[in-house]
Amino acid sequence: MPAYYLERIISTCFSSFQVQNEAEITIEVNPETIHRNELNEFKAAGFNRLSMGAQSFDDKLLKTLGRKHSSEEILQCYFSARKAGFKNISLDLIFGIPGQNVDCWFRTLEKAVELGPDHISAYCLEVHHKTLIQKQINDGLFDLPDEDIQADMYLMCVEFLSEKGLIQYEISNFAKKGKKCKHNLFYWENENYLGFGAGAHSHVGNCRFKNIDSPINYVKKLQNGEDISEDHEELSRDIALSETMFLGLRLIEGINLNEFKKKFGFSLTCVYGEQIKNLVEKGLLSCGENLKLTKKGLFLANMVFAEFVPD
Amino acid sequence: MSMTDFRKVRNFSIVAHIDHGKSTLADRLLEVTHTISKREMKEQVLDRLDLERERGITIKAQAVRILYKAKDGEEYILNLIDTPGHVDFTYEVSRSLAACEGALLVVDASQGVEAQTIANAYLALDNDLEIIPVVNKIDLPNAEPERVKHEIKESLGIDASNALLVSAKTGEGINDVLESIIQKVPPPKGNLEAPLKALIFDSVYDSYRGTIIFIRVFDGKIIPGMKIKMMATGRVAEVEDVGVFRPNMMSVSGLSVGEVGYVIAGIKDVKETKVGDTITEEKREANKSLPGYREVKPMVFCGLYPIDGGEYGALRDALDKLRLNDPSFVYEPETSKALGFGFRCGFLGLLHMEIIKERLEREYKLDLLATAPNVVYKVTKVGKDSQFISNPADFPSSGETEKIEEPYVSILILIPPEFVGGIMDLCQDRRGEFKNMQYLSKSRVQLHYYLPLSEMMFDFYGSLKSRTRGYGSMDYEYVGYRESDLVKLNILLAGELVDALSFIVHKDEAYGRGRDLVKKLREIIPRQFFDVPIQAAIESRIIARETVKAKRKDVLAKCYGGDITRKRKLLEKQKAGKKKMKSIGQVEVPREAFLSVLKVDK
Repeated sequence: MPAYYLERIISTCFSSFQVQNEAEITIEVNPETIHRNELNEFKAAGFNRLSMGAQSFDDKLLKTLGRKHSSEEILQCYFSARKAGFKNISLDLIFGIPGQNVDCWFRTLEKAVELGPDHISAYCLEVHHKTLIQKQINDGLFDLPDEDIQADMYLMCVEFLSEKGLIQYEISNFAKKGKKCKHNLFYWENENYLGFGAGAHSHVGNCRFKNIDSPINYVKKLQNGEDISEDHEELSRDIALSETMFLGLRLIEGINLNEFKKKFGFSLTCVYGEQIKNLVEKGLLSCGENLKLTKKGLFLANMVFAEFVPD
Repeated sequence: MSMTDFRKVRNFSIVAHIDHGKSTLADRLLEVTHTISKREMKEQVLDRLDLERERGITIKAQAVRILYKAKDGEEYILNLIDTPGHVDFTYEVSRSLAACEGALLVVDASQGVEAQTIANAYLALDNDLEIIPVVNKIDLPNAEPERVKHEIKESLGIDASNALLVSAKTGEGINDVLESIIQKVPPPKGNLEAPLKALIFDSVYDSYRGTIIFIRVFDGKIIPGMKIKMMATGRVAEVEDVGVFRPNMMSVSGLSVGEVGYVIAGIKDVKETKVGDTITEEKREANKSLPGYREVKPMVFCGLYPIDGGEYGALRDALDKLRLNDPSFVYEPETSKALGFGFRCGFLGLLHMEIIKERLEREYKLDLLATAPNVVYKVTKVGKDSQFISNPADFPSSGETEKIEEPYVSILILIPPEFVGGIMDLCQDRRGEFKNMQYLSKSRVQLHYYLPLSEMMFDFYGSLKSRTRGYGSMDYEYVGYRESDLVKLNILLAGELVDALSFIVHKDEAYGRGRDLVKKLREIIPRQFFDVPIQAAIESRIIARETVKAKRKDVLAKCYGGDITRKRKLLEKQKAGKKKMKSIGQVEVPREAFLSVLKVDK
């Protein structure tokens, strides 16, 4: 998408909404598709944060992931972005890739930290249905690192990044002081948001919905004044509560009991008292002013979250 | 009132090994005689339960009246009594056979004589039935009728040179079967004037009409309004309706000597109409009941527990309902420290157990956990009388006991000669005692062993089948209790004894079984949030140990605005999966763990 389209989108936002001075405006880029001067244009268009899909600094693993860029191109992209004036840059990294071991992962983290990013998202590879990588795994071409190795990788990552001043604030997210991703915090705090464009998701009040996926139809329908939303889901109180729980507990600081009470009008312990007691006993949750995952709970978060979803 | 001339009645049954074509032959007989029109015909007409059709077995007995005009120009009444076809129901089969004068012995023309062929034929011979050998499936390209005739002669001593050659599938030879029945099966004998004597060979519960009793009249007659008495249970009732199966129920004015049909007498509980009991008149009681009645006792027990403790009441109601139709199955409440509230259930055998379990899950939609089945042990404590123990959890420690006995079966195995060595090894491993061996033909050897019934639980049949590439067959009967050197093996999960996993084992095998079982459990139990040691112990002595290592990572890396709903659904699925498991203390145990003791290869 040419930069002037993006510029128009942002200026439309500014003319339609009241935008706070310190608003975080992020653009996601892939090193393989970006050109140096574009980065300048993005900056000029109003973007103040850049999130880069680096994934790995190991060229062989990048191929395994089906990425077209090289580690060299990540560096070029990163330095260009700094030159263009981006003061808030995030790198996405992936671990648990077939053929990756703990040392390999450590070298990628080292290289990433050397660049001095403001933020890192480190995701364990999730293999989805009907993807090429799943087929390759099924065909025996690749082997995923087993659960124990993944756990070692994750543990190493959490410890190493915090040593380097990138503080973990969510299961997969690490930031320098003051550089948490405001946009994503909104999701985890289960706040309302509007998504624009084909395929974008929204959460308004007790309803979640998305826009239709096809850009052509999206434009057509908008021009005809038709509804472009679909998949409306009315959230019952139980579901809204459970989402507040499993989203909020993704944050390292967890859920503040007072804020919960302010938001819902009753206390957290009166709805989930039994689950909380049980999980605290198991050493997976800790409960003070905030309810949060323990270090052990961080690694077994799904076991915790599953306790809060309705039957 | 016109009563049937009993010289024109023929009562017969069909006996066969499973899959030799018994039900198809019955279907064809009904079709040829227009008892059932082609339009109403579906396969295995007589097997009413879905389960029966699916498994190709008959669980409940049936009786059909067939009218047949023979070549001699006379019209005959043929009563076909279809019997259950499995070793668990041997007593029921013997009572059904006792209601007949003859039996068709059906043998597959390519498979030849199998273990159930022999066992069922002996039951028929025991009841003095005229046996008509029928070689079925002669349309198959690999049919060998001559070899099969030879095997019948060798194994049973029956002259099979004139055996009927039939294909129930194509209909070839069906008329010869009907004519043979008329000529060879003797007509019933009996005294029309004597007090009523009728054999109960089955009874089913109908929610509208109460108990429907299947009977064969030996002496006298039974008519509506008559006061009758069950001689074993002493229950007295008034006959409301008598009738025959055509194959649907059809009322008649009465049933007399030699006839087969049903009686309805306002009885609500099948427990009062026991298979093998004799019905007589209340006012004019027969001086002697028909021979052969006995109380059937469950041989195999297991614990049944609802996965969700809240379904205990629903399980009890379902058991009550099933029992209405099946008095041979017993149950009583029991409490397990590990599993909570459930029932100890007793069955005639392993198939019977599976059938009941499956019906509870299918017809009553219950989520059940079954413990491994066990036999009933006879335990004599020092200075006390012997007692029967049907739950391994109640098994006393070795210091307290003077004598322990376990039930034995006499087992008949038929195999091709090349497998003799392998099967003798199998029987040896299962503590079998060799009785004898006989060559029935070049391709068939009969082995006879005594074996502890408990050894049959450890997938004996599966081992037999796999070691003979499917060619082996077997049948067994209970022979009594024998003294054995048995111990209780306990399993501890995370240091806690799990009573529902305890089992009884021969002392010499305790170590091996214990080691194998903890290994198996380590594979079955998923990783938990802490290390779970699994131990096997005899009394307080630990004999084997394995550890399920704690789960280290279970976390979804990403969760942003677009996939909150999808992630929530994944979590719901995870929770549902967990609910399918039973929590024992803090450990989540999958259901199959409780049956793993059976899956341990020896």
